[in-house]
Amino acid sequence: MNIWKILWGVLRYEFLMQIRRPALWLAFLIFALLDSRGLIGQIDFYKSVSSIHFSTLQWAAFLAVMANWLVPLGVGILIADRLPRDRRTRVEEVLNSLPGALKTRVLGKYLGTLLASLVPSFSLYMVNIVIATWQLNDPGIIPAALLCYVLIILPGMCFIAAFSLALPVVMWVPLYQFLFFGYWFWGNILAPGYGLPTLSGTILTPIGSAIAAGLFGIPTYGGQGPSSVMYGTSSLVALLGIAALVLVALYQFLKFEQARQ
Amino acid sequence: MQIDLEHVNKIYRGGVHAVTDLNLVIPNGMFGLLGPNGAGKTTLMRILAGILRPTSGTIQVGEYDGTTERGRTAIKRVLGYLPQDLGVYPDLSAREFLDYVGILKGMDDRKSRLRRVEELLELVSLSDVATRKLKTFSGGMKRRVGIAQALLNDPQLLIVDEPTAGLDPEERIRFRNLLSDLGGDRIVLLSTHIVEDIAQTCRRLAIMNKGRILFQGSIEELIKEARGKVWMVTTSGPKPEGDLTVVSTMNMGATVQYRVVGELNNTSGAQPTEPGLEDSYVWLMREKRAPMASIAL
Repeated sequence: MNIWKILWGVLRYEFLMQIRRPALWLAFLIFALLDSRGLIGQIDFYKSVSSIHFSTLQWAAFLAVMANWLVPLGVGILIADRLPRDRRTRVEEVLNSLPGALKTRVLGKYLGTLLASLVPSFSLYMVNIVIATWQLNDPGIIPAALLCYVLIILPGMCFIAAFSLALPVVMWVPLYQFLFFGYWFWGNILAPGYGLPTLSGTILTPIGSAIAAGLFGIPTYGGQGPSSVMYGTSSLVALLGIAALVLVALYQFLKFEQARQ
Repeated sequence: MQIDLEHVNKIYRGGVHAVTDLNLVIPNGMFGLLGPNGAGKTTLMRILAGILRPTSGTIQVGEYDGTTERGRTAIKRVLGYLPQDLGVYPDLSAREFLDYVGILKGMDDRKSRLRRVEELLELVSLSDVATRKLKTFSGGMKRRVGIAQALLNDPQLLIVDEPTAGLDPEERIRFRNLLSDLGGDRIVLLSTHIVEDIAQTCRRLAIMNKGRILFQGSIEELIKEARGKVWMVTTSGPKPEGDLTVVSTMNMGATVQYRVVGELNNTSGAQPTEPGLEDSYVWLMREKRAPMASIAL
């Protein structure tokens, strides 16, 4: 029994099942409309402020953070039902009788659903990049944008996908989705200086503003906080590390739950 | 291969005893597990399938110890399991679902896995609808997908829990015959509360009630126990009386013919008759009940 082949098989089918969901495409169509209008406005604004001079890489980082404002909401909400669905459809019973290890299934499901959820958002991102390339008249933005996608967007997506896969195991899915919606605005969009304690502007911000500030030197959200390379790297490592820890905890919990049945 | 269960107990959270001090030997071939709803059959099936862990006791499946993690994984490699309440992914086609299960069963070679999927789709007569999404399938069609997934890895141990539920009579017969064919060189454990399914396929069986084994042995041995206790009573008057259970009632026009199991108060007009499996099952369930709880009609 080749564990890699099982992992690849689970990943492939979870990817297929997620990417076929009309809700996934519908959600990102709405985001596309909201995002692109905002993006064009922001580019115009920054271009008009003569004191800000962005390099190509900084423009790409800026665009990555901009693209990450709403899209993770869709990703998190659409991943939330993946594990409870196995129970709801009663497939879990058959899956638990199969020798393919639980950890392989959990990891395959995580990677498959995450990758599928990223397909429309990545397409949307690339559309935005093409628009920005045209607006800024700088073709160098395209490779820079791909780098920024990996460094700024992906760690946050891994972070929220891990929580969205794990927490609904112990929580009603609509409740999680509601709380996640609230968390997103509280912990990512709410300005740190607004008076409410928030995770915005900290290294635990999956929106990617800390990474963008630390690694690419673009202004942090609300203009606060340090912007050293260390700060950006800490955010990147923290987001990925926490995602890994959440997945390990999820696996341990499911194993414990199976054992005590 | 043989399954040996010794002093197996399963107590659910909340203190519900689903299986109590169960001792059972299941040899190669078709083996029936019969009992009323709530007897503990499904719990036993799920323990054998490695889904549930027993609270205590030993489980040996061939050379594998079913009480250890390593043993359970090894058992799952030779297992085919059709649960009572089979779930499928509604957005996958039958072919995709079987392929997915095949992957999780460790069938690494893609070509041979897909070939096996096609064979089984043919076997359960679903080849024509293999690309249709499972959410469009009827209950009987989903059941057939379930049967196919259980057989994917050519299992040495096949556990089927209420397999004919939801199948039409023709499909039921076809499936029973399929199980009989498979039972030649492996263990096929058939759990049901439909006596006819066991009568038509199994030579050996166990009867469970309230988490305990009431009987294990051959069908002939069970029938022998009920001999002399089954009667045909034809009467135009009231129902026969005594400590008995009416198994069937047939209105013949002027008279009514009753098939009864138990002790008759008056045997005049009653003909002793050869018990069937259903009669014997009824007899056993009556015998193992507390005397005050006996059904007297």
